[in-house]
Amino acid sequence: MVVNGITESDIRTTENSSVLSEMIHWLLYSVALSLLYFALTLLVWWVTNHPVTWAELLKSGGLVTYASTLSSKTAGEYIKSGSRITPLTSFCVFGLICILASSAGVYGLLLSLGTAAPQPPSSAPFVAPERLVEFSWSIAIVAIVYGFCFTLNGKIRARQS
Amino acid sequence: MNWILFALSVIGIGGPLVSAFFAILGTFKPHGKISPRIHIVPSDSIIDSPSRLEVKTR
Repeated sequence: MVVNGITESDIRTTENSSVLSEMIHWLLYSVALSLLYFALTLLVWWVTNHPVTWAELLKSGGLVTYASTLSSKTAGEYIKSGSRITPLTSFCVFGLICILASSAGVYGLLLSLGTAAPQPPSSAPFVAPERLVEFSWSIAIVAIVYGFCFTLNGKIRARQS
Repeated sequence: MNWILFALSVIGIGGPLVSAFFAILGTFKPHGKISPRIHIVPSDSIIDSPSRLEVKTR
């Protein structure tokens, strides 16, 4: 269909490029700049000759806090973007609950690693710190994927409503 | 692998990925051939030329 020289294809191309620019904006501000914090911490450690280990960097739970914050923000914006509740809204809430529950679990285990309570010399940590660090990365990557998918869907849904 | 880490992996990785999969499925679902965002409405100058139509897009 062509009206006044504007085709459906032109309109869809404009909409797609607009959504693409919004998603690039989201990736820049919600992912790249948020995770820059860890890179700067590593830079400070390198400047001060501090030994750099992932366990040392992530044992304070910064990455799981980031994952839960990102997923909460994503779910809030997704629910706000549509005027009605769809089955996808319940999937969004389900994913959010899963990320929050696992983040809370890992955060508790990470905090238990650095406890000041006296322990017998033979006692090993409940979970190996390396495993917890790997799991922190996994949760963060899953939260980014979850956030990207629902942000994209929310932006398209907001245009259609 | 510790049992608690296994349970957290199933919940924390499986659940969000399943919901993200359905989100992607919903994003790329076809919505029909005709774009609902094109509205053909009569122009203000319809008295002068009744056959003229104006296309407004939002």
